[in-house]
Amino acid sequence: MLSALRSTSAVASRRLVATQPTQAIAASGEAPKGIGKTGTPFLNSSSKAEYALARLDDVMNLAQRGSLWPLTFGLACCAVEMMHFAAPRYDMDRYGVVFRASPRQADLIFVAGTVTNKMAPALRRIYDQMPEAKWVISMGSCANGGGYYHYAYSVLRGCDRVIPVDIYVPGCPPTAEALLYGVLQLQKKIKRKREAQLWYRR
Amino acid sequence: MGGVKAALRKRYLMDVTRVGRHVGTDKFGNRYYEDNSYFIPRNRWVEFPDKVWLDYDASQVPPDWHGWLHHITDDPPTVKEPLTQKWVLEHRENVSIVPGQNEGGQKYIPYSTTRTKTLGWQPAEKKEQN
Amino acid sequence: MLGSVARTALLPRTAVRVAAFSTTQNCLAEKAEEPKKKPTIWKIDDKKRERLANFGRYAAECLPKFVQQVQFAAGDELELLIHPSGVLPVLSFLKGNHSAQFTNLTFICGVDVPTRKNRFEVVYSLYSVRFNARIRIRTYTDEIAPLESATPVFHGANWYEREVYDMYGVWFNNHPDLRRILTDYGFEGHPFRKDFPLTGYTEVRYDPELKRVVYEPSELAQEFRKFDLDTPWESFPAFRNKSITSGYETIDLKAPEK
Repeated sequence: MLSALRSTSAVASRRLVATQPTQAIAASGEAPKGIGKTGTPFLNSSSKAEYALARLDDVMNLAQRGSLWPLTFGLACCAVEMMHFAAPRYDMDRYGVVFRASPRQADLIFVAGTVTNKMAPALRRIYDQMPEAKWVISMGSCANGGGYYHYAYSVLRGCDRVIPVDIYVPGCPPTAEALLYGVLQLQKKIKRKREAQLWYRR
Repeated sequence: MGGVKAALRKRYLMDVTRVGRHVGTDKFGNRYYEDNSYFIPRNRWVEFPDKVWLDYDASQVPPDWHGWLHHITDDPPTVKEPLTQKWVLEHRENVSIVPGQNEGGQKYIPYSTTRTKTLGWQPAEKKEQN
Repeated sequence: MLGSVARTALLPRTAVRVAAFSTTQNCLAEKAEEPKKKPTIWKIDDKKRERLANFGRYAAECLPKFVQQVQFAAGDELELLIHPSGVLPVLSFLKGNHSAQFTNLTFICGVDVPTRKNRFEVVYSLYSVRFNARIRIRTYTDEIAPLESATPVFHGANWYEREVYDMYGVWFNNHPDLRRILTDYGFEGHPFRKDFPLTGYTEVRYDPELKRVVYEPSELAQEFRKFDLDTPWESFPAFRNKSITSGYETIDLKAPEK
């Protein structure tokens, strides 16, 4: 928790310093040209093979981020917000996010709630059972860092002690909107995955 | 800009072609529209500038316009100036997903929150003799 | 209603039907003279309270060996303080007695007061569906002395006793399946004891080399924060000088003179 505080203060101080535009927004102020119109982050390729593999990556990432299937894994009250996210108002189906009941068919897991010590081996096993190309969204304070139960004898102090986490959604519990935003951020993260290009470079 | 080309472009970027009353533009170039013939949460929307293209994000909307966009206020900030303080930081979009410190990103990299069991030897720099 | 029936239990058998009739009369009278009251504040029903007190006296009279004290907590909640050897007789008496019919076991829980000689208190709460009345039975034990399991009388006591055993380490004799219920597999200690530290002794993490979740002695990255909960305003001024037992009102076991 202290480290989290430290990192936020560091972020705040950085925010004061940094004023240059981000990579996400092009500095030129005009719409991207050519292949950039498809929204790909891979714009600079040195050879034809790399260009082709970058396009392959684009297609793979498009397919993966368009059908993120999360595991139904609700542990505590955050699960209710997860259900709201599935319900028609926020309607996760329109992003291709469809709950699966089996870890073998899922490629995303929302850790929605308090992870207890007793649950930790089960959580790890479920994570191990998921097929490769898998992501984790840690939802809520308890899953992020123990939260309210940080000092308790029976609660894991953050689910990242057991499984690697991609997106941390803060809140206690986070709103369905926040979880939706987390999923969109994860889609952005998947967009930059360069699996084929890394294979080629190796 | 109008015509078929613009309609297709809008369709590509927003998945919808709709025209509304232009309410205002914020300092980032986002344009805000309103059309009350749509039902309530859909009657106000934002169109991001061209340079953002497909990298739009909800956090690119500044907080004063966010209030209008989400029906927290009735009046847009062009009509009623929102209350602000001099200590309020300038709005920045959320870049915690963008990798690399020097590329403008602030990606959070998790690290162990516990102390290490053993401490490695850190060679201290030699003090300059004055 | 309950108390009046209990009173009739002391009377000769022939009086039962008459007593039942008079109870319904009483109910009608109560409804007529019910005063207006604020709905959110619990109003103690004096008649019902008197009946409960009568039943408490009756129970103490029937089981003089086990019932040590009969008292009211928080105004109108009847409590029987019993000797630990009397758990089964008292529970089966309360369940089987026709004038009580406490057939529903609401909960069993433990209390730890380390300053006492018998540090643990085990509380059984019963509910009578027939008479809409509640009763609590409190008994005591220490770390070693076992209590008799209530499972022969109430099957629902099974998991509650497992929980009490898990959290406090109170042993129940003749329990069909006395093992831990809530804490982790292989957990050591009883976390609700006052001498158990809040953060416990172990914590878990995933070890990528062993490829499994491992237990380690717990290490907190951050010191436990002590919140200063003193406020300049007194939170409960009405209870400033009250002792912990002031909420109880002992019932005199001799029946009131009539």
